[in-house]
Amino acid sequence: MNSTEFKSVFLPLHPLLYRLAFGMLGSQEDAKDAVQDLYCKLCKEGERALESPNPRGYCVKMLRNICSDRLRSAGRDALKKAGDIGDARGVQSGLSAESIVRRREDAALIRKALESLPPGLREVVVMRDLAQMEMHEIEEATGMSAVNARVSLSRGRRMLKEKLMELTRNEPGNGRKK
Amino acid sequence: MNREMDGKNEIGKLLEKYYAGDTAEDEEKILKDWSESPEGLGDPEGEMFRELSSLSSEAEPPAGFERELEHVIDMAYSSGHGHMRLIASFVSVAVAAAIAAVAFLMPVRTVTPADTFEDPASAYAEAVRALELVSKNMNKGLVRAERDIGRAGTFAAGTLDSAMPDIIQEKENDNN
Repeated sequence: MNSTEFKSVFLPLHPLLYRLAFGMLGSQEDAKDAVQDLYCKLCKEGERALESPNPRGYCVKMLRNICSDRLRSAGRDALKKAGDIGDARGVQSGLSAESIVRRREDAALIRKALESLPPGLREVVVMRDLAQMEMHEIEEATGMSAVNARVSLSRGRRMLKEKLMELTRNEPGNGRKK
Repeated sequence: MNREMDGKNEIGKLLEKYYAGDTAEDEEKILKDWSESPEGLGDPEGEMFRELSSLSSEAEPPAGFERELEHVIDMAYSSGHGHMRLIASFVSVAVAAAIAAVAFLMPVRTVTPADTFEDPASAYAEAVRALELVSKNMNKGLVRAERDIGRAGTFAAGTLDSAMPDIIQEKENDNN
């Protein structure tokens, strides 16, 4: 096996993997580190990783473990830090300064809301609503049955909505323009 | 007015499906588009979709990240393969050294029975005593066997002598 073959199989998956890591860890730096870590591990696995019948599922499973380890070792500080509005990054070209600030505030708010979800529910919501994964992929990656995955998604979305409403109510001044 | 109501009902149904975890990708796209429309902007239900959408746009990999990953892969490959070669050569040298050391250091085993007597004279005396004991016991057995055989012979001869006149008489009667 050579690195060209490896790259052709695994590199196209990096946007999905990055979105997942970002959703689970909440910051750009942590997401980048987690994905780089994943690619190092995949390289070490070599043939075994390449022979996987479903490289996408294989990578998602490994990334899930890496993110869980990172969250465990950093406690919940990682997500709290990321939930801070001041940590919001990403400049969208073609948007007014006001829109950019509003988007950052929105993103920070939803990250805070995601952070408050139980890990199992957060994971499913991130996989579906942020990484746009299909339900069967989520079932495969999490090991949940179809019913359990759907129930977790439903509970996660409802809880996320409640948390968002709560956070919006408690926002200082609560005077955000919509 | 009716069309507006129908649209609201349709969105309401889709939102129900969404919160039940039953929406397909195209239905979620409809909800996302609605949340950005003037109707959705005025609706608190649209907020979550807008916020998720904001997070999605932030969650795109940064520019140049793919190149960084390529570099990571190249580094991992070169160092990984270099490590393997290094480990293989270390292992082969270590195995060869271990075999040589074992062959050189292991003593050749010769079986030499340990002496039980330090003085050769007492060892000789003990050997003689042991042989005499064997010889004595063997003689005892032979004498006894000889005596028993003698007794058996005497008994047999006595029996024949007493029975012989009767046998001779019987033969003479038969001839007559």
